[in-house]
Amino acid sequence: MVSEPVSGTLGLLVVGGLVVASLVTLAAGYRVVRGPTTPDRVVALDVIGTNVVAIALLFALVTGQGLFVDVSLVLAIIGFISTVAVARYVTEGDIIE
Amino acid sequence: MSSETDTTVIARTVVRVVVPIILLTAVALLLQGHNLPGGGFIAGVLTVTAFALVYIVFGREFLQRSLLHVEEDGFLGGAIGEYGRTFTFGLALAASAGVGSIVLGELLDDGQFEFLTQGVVFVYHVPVYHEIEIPTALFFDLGVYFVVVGALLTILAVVGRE
Amino acid sequence: MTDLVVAPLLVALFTAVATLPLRSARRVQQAVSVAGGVVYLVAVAALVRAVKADGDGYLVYELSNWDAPFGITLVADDLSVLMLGLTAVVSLAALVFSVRGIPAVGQRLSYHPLYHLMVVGVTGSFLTGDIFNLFVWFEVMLMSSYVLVVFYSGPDETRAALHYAFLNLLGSAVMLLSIGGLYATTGTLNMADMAEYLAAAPASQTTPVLGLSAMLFAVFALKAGIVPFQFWVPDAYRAAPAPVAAMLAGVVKKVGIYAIVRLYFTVFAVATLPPGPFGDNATFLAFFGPVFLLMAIGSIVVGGLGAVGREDLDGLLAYSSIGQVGFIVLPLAVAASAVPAAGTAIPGDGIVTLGITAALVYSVNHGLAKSLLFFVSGALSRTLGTVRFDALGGVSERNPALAGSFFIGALALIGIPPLSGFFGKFLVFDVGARAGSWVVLGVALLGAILTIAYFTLAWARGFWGPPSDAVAGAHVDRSFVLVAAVLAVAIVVLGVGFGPLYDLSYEAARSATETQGYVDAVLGGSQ
Repeated sequence: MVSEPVSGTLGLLVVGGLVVASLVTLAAGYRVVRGPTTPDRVVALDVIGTNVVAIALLFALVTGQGLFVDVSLVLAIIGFISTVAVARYVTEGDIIE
Repeated sequence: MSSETDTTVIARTVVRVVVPIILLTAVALLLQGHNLPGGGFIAGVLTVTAFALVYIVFGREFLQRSLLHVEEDGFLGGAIGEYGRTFTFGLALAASAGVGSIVLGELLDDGQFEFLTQGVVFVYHVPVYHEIEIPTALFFDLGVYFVVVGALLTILAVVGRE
Repeated sequence: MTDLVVAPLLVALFTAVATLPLRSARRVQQAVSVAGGVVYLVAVAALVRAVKADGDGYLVYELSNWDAPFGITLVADDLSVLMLGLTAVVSLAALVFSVRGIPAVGQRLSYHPLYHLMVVGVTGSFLTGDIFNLFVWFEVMLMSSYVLVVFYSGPDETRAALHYAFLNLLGSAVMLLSIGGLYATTGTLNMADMAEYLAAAPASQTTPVLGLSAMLFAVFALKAGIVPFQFWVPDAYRAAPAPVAAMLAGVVKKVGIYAIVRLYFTVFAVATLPPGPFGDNATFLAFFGPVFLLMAIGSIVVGGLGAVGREDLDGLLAYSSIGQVGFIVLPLAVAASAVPAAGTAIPGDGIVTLGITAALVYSVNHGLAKSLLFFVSGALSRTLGTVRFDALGGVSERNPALAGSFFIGALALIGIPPLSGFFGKFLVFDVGARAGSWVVLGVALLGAILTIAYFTLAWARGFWGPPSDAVAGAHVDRSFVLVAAVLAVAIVVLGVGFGPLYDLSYEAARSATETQGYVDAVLGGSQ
């Protein structure tokens, strides 16, 4: 599961993507802290989750290590279900019927 | 409140597509666990995630009546009883996985294998995969998988009931 | 058949697994659980025989066929099997007591599997020869004991269990940290390999090991409930169901003591201290001796004074067990201070061996007597619903067998001949006298007087005199009386025929101090 790391122009683009994703994560962190309402925080946390998935994938490209793809896959699944659960909690006030 | 009016058609459709994908990922992680990241624990957690999605979107009734075909939850009965049997089976499997080597050593009668001794069998000429390794660690991983699935589902069912 | 080494471990593990699916058949579950306890006793007895029959007295078992020091090694020697024997006896008694002593619902739900998993953890801790593996077995043991302490889940129990779990998690974190440091410094986790490294290393290289081993000692002291780490003991013992409290006080505490004897007298004893206040060429134990002594004095005083003022039997027994652990550490302190300079072998008939022997004899005596007392207290609380002294009174008139067992247990802890406790106390005084230490003798005397004081109080207020209203109408279940009486008889028999116990403990102390024999046995196969 180890392959050549990307290089050249594509490599630069990937590193640039990593920087952007990290900055977005920080910006979303501000929204998590500030709020002011619960849905704001939930959406911000969701953005962070998605960006961490993106960072893991880009990192897999940079290092050429396939195991980070597994990491991103599992993170994406758990992020998805937590979004569904929180959305249900916010709209219905109860998670399991 | 019935589950029909509760969740949107979008949520239900998405879950229907996503659940098989999650289960497939879980199986993949379980099988590669002996020498790559993965293994019984994370596979079990992902499987429970799939169940939890069904719980949330379709409701407890649907999961227990239509999918598992069990009636009311009793004390150690119903769905909770099923989950209890799952983790019991897993624990027994994981514990037996280590003893297997002692028994095998006695049967083969050519030298002794200590408790927990591991081995691996390679199967060649398999379509698509070409080569599959079946390690004895897989049985332990399977045991862990069932323990995690059973235990987490018990927690979900008990908490969901209250 | 070296497979015998894992036999006790596997018996307890499979009993735990077997009691899980039997939750719907209460009688069968109880029968399997008690049968598991009996088979465990048989497996331990077979292991004792095998160790005694073995040429050098060390049975080494390499898990998964990985040679030491790379794999995990299990080592059964005289010290391990002595502690395993104590475990097997107390554990079987506690199991028989549990059948009637624990509410039926609780037994069905989780009691038996958790109990056996705790025994798995204890067994593993006694057998392992790998320091990280020791951490893992500690966790197995603690994980189940957390649930067993919170078993009745009332407000008091939950608070006690929260404290217990928090402190022990903190202790585990410190333990992991120091084990990581030891690995980074010595490059090995195998105890025998570590001893070999430390024996060869100059003082400049062992300095970090001294700090790390001191940190590790704090963790073991926390598990054994030695002052100043004793504060979790009274609440946890009061909250736990009686058979579990008996196991915690009788056996789980001794795991801490065992770890201290095994690691400090077998492994760290060969390391040289950097030149300093203890002189050149002193071993680590010269540093730990005074520490042990201070903590032993603290335990005896705090435990004894605390027990005198208690208003209930459980609390009195819990404080008493703090004081009694002080009596176990006291001879260890003398032994540690008497260890000769690094590089010289420890003589077989010296104060060191005698001190460890005294500590081990006292551990066995305390394990049996304290669990007996907790069984009596549990029988009363299960029958009457309370063990406060103002509700008790006159048990000796209503139920002479139960009260008599309590009397024997109390006398064993006080140290009256011909009970096993007499020899335990006698050896402690003997060690103090041989070392010529007036401090040790004085503290031991003070502790003995405090022990007499609080057991006299307990006897006078709880068991003597006319029966109180609650006691007069109560009927104690026969199985409780039986368990207590059998243990009482065992204490008398051990005391009257004291020779075998002394020999076993002496052999155990010898094998704890013979680092070279241990190293040769474990690493012999790979060289």
